[in-house]
Amino acid sequence: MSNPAPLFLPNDGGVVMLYKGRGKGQLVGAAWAPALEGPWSRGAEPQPFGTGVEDPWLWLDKRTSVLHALFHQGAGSGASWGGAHAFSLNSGRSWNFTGPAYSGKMAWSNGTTTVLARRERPQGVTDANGTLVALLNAAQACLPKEDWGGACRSFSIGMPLPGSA
Amino acid sequence: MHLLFIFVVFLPISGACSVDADCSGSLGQCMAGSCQCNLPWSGPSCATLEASSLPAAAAPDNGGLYRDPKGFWTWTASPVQDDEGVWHAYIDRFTANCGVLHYCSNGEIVHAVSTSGSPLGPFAFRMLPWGLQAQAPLTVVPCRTLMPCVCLTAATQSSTLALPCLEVQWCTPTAHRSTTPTWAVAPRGASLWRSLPRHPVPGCALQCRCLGLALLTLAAGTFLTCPTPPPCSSPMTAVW
Repeated sequence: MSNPAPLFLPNDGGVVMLYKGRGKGQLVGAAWAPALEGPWSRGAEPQPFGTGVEDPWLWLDKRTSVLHALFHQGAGSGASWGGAHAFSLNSGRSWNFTGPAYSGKMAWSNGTTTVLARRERPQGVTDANGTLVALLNAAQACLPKEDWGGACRSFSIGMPLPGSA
Repeated sequence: MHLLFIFVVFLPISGACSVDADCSGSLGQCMAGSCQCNLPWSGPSCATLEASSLPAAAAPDNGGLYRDPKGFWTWTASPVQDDEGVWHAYIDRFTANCGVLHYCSNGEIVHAVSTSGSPLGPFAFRMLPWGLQAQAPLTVVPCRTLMPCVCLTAATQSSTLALPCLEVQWCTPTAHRSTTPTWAVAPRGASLWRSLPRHPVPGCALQCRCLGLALLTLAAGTFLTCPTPPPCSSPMTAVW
């Protein structure tokens, strides 16, 4: 188990958490607890996110009480989809996977554009209503031959989203 | 002779909806059978953050979100705002100029602060708050009555879930105090988190402010000098 992504539900509704489990394969599961200290329980079956997602991050739309999640999806290479989205209408007990949400293509403030080789670890910032106003990711513009040194150094990125102040 | 008029109603193939929830839960409103999306969402079911419609982000060669003073590779950035409106970020970086695939062996967490007042930085290095090998931080802001806590999940070499908890208290604007992590090992098939023991920091509690709660994933291993490959290949057993 890794990538734990808990969210405190309002009105003492406990905690819902998405997490990654790895074994012969890789899947994202959901768990619930009355408090962070537990006791935790989880669904009998894997949630419908598929095998290609990881790095979940949750937020609550406070106007509608709908839970949302973003994931890193796929290999994250080239212009293929880098992130996926899911939502839950019942406080995280069951999820609806809507699929790809954003790609690895980034337009920078200096006017250049990069198709990232890796765009992972989505984490967002929401306003008081639970509207997503910014998105942060871990990124890598290219894949080096060796995983060290100065070439293709990874970095952290963040972007404001349309509609944000 | 009567003409027979046949009215055919064409509904959009994609984007058809009957209730707002069809628009990816709450990301748009269903109007006349199609989703009208709320910003920043788009697409037939409002589930897309279109890259082409997004405003530009700071390029990494301009400093980007965070430029590490040691030039280390960085990865996840997890932002959280304190009571005074200052944005903090917990960012993982990789020591010894290692790359991201060395997350098991060379990851460590940096605490950085945005003096611009923006959650998008730029963030400047503040400190290494825990001195632990860790990676993949995720801050969670609970209700303000909870103490901040850092929970670490570990990738073990056995069929168990090892989930230590390290409570960290935010005592001053520049210092964290932490306790030694206590491990709570749950047997295979047991509940995910059997216990997360708390260890208050002596002399600190009265001054502490609730900043938030950070979750980190911690991987076993020792620090490496690149380019030695990390010992991270042992598979784990599925937990469901």
